[in-house]
Amino acid sequence: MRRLLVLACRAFPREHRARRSDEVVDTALLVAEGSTWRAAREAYSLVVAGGRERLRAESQRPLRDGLPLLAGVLAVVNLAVALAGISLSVDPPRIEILAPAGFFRNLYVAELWWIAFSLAAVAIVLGLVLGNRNLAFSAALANLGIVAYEAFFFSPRFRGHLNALVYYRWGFDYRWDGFPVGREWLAPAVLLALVTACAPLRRLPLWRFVLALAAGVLLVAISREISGGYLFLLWPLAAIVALAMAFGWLVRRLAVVALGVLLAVSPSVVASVTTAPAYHAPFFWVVASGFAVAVLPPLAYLTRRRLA
Amino acid sequence: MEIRRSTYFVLAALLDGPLHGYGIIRRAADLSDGDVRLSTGTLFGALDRLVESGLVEAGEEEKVEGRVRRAYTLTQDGHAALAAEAGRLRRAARVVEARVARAAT
Repeated sequence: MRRLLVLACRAFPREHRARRSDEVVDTALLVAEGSTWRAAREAYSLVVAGGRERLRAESQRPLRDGLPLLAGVLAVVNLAVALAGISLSVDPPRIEILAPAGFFRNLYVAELWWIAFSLAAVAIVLGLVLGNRNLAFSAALANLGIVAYEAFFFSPRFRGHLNALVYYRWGFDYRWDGFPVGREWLAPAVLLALVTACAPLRRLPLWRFVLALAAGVLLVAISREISGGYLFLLWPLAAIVALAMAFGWLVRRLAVVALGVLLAVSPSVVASVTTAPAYHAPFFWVVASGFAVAVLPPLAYLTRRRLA
Repeated sequence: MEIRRSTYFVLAALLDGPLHGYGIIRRAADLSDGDVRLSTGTLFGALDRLVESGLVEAGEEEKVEGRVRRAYTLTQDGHAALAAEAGRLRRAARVVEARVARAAT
């Protein structure tokens, strides 16, 4: 029963006495009078009260507290892009018992560029979890350098590091399996470096690192189901913006994250609108209008208090 | 300032002197003839707000028979707020009672 009540107290903010002292749990145990059913009822009441307390605490948080969350979201998505690049053309290994020589027919070679990108992405996440700004920021700068190198030297020619993986076939028959980073990832990389530099960081439990890796891998799994490169990021990012539109007035950190995400994808939207073929133009104008509308609610949530 | 019913009975429970959390729950149930059964979540939510607004004062934590507890005391402001709320309820009840009596005659 105590463990259940202690678990329920985790609904309260970290700094609340329900998390720091046994007073609340001991009172709930007395009220439960040894009955498991009553203990469950008390646990439920603690979860509700904890949720309320969190919302109350959220409304008093400074906007700057949204930056670590934004850094976390961008770092996980950045990691997913890097891992997706490496894994794009990797199929489950084939076991050809009858023709063992065929086992070596398909060789996958991940380019150093993608390996460096992935390492930088992992280092950013690790730095954020450890609350180590030196590590997070220097990794974010390295990440920016890697992405900028790609954007400025290779992107227009659609060669080299644009390709996630070089897919070799035996002999001279090979093809490039592209996963364009292009210049679109430059804006998120710049934003990630800036946010990492100024976000108030604190050390988090290490399981958050595992969670971030799992989230990155999950995004990669989605990317493999939905072809079309970065389109796989559209839905998680749209979900974040939708969440901010719905709950940003309660949790203003979400509004900060949504604005950051929208800022990060804005070059892609502008590029899509300005370079779309004529027959696609109406679709992209709808996308651009939706984008403009999506910016308004989070912006309103953030400016409301300053105007009041 | 209007006070919620549960908060009203939390304040009322402290009228006779300082009490710890479980004591407040029991006292509130007694005062309301079992009508107000505060859950732990409701109690500590109310206490948080009352302490923050200066109506109740939280004492130091102590360990009694292996259980951690803390005594809560009604402040002067708490007394005043409770008296004001009781007056408001009394006036509201008087209005309705007078009308009900008139309607009955």
